[in-house]
Amino acid sequence: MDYLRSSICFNCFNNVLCMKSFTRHYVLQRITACILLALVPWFLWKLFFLKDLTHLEIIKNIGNLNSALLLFIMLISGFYHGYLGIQTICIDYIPNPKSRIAVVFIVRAMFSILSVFGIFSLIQLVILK
Amino acid sequence: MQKPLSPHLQIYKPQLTSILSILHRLTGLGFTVGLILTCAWLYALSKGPDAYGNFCSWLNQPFVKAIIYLILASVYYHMLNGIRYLVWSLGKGFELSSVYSSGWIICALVFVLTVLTMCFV
Repeated sequence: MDYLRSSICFNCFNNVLCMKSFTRHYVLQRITACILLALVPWFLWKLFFLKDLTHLEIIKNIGNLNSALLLFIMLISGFYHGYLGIQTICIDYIPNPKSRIAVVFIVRAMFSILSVFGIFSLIQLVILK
Repeated sequence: MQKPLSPHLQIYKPQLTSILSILHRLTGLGFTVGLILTCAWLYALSKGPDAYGNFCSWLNQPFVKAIIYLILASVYYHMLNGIRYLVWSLGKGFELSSVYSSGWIICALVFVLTVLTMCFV
């Protein structure tokens, strides 16, 4: 059974059939890493110029559809990449399968809520602009 | 069947390779805190000039500023070391000398980038 539809099977860890979910986890971690490698420097560079602007000017800049779209992709990829990373740490260091699943579930819920929170704020900025 | 656990951190004799690997995970957490801060920044922006002003004054407190520099250092390290991991995923750079030299290069780059950020931002 693929718990929580997660990319790693927590039930039958040594089962060869689980290699599929391992591969999926490995590939997704690298895809999100590549996306972040492009978008995080862009965002930091943008922040460098935004820091001296007024609230209205920042909203005009961030609320721009292109910037908002890139920020949206960065937030989703970032939280998903973070979730995959924490999942790996849990697999490595939490011996009890039930505790491991509970921690992964809590992290997944937290990151989903945070992503929705960020995206909701971003949508508000696009509307405000 | 249970999956065997990874060796716990205190088992390792400190060496550059293990320290950089442990740091990659720790800085990943720093990266996540940075993302949460980004969400808070977007929220403050969407709530109007007053809320944004309050958020900025909170960010300008010395303690918070120090934490932000720490988060930035984490982001730099996680990104640069992430490139190293991606290169390894391609099956390159596994020779011990390359592993050590790339590790030291990353440490130096993180230091330079963090100092530059502290000077100019």
